[in-house]
Amino acid sequence: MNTLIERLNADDMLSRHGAYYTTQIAIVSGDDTTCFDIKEGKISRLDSESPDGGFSLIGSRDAWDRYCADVPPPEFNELGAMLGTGHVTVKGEMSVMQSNFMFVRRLVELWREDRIEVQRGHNK
Amino acid sequence: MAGGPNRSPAGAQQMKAIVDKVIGRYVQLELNEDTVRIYYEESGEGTPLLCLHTAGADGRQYREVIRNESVTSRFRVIVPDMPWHGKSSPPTGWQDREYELSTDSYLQYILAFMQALDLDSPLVMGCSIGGRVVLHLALQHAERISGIIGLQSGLDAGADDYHPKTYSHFHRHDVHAGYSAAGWMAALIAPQSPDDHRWETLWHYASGGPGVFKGDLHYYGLDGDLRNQALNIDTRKCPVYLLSGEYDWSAPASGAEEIAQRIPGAYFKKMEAMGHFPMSENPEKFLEYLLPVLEDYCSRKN
Repeated sequence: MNTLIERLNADDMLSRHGAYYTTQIAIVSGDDTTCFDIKEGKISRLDSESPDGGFSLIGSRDAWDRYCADVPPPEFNELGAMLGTGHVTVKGEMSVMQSNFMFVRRLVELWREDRIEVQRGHNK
Repeated sequence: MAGGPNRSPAGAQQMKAIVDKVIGRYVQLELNEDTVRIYYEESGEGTPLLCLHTAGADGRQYREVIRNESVTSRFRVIVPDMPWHGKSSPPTGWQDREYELSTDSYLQYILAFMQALDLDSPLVMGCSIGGRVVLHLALQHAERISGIIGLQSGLDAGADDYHPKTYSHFHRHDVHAGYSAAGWMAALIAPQSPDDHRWETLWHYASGGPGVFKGDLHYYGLDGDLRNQALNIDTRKCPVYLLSGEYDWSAPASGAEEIAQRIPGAYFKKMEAMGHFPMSENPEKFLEYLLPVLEDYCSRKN
């Protein structure tokens, strides 16, 4: 998790898009929740499963697994694709997500890369 | 001198400039009571190939089609920016109105543009909203064109609950609409598409005028719905070609396939590893699908 947080805070795109962004975001994959606290772009882990004033991205473990495939299949290739096709839903403040969707999609993209690396590590 | 012999006195590396044969022009159109200044690019000689861009974008999407010699050796490729889009101006008084595209206004603009340039029976290719409007063209004005190529065509946008608020994030004061559009359109691009073309495609979305993308979606989601219309197109007189990318969930390939099944003689091909913006997100691969279509069109015409 610390590696993920370091990766997120080191990312140029997130830094640029998050400079004025303060919220909390949870990624819910089946029974697992990863929650982030964002304060003007600075990202830290949040020991909570329910973001305060932010939003949760909720999908089944199978849906997120498909998103994390080396080459994701159609409807699972991006956060927006999963939202648009209903494989992931939003609970909470939709307007907060929409207000900075470039940040949100990038954060989830980096979460994906980290998850793939962790998975590969487990498989070695 | 700093930079050595291969550098200019200013320090910039000397490069060989590549100048395209593409030229850009403006034409003034009278649309209802509005005069609009339309920007278009063209290249090549032969049958006019009129290329229509997607919602919220502009003609730069066809940047590789218009400079491909396999195309321009046989076709006069013409790529306009719709009114309000790209380098085409909105009408005078834009600040006092809300832009909203309708089937009638879309067709009126295309027909006026064809007339202004004296285009004789063009082959018309359009993507997304353009892929829908080519069907409207073939249904209502088949005598003015010689065929259509629908990219990412669909009879509807699957938005039965269409409401302006559905797309409010593309046009509200507290959201950067350009980034919002780019972020969402990223989801319609195939993962296999090259990064440089992916991000150029998204730049077009990031740089659209305020409210324009949302205004286009009025046509895409509501006014241009074709589900309840008979698709009476005589493909012997007006060939219909439909190409759809497999990663497009907005206008899925299954929708275009259904259209082809309802139009006798229509051609359909699913484009593997392609999304909603084939000519822009992966031009090289798109041309592999387009060139056989153009070949078939030419052989039919001859």
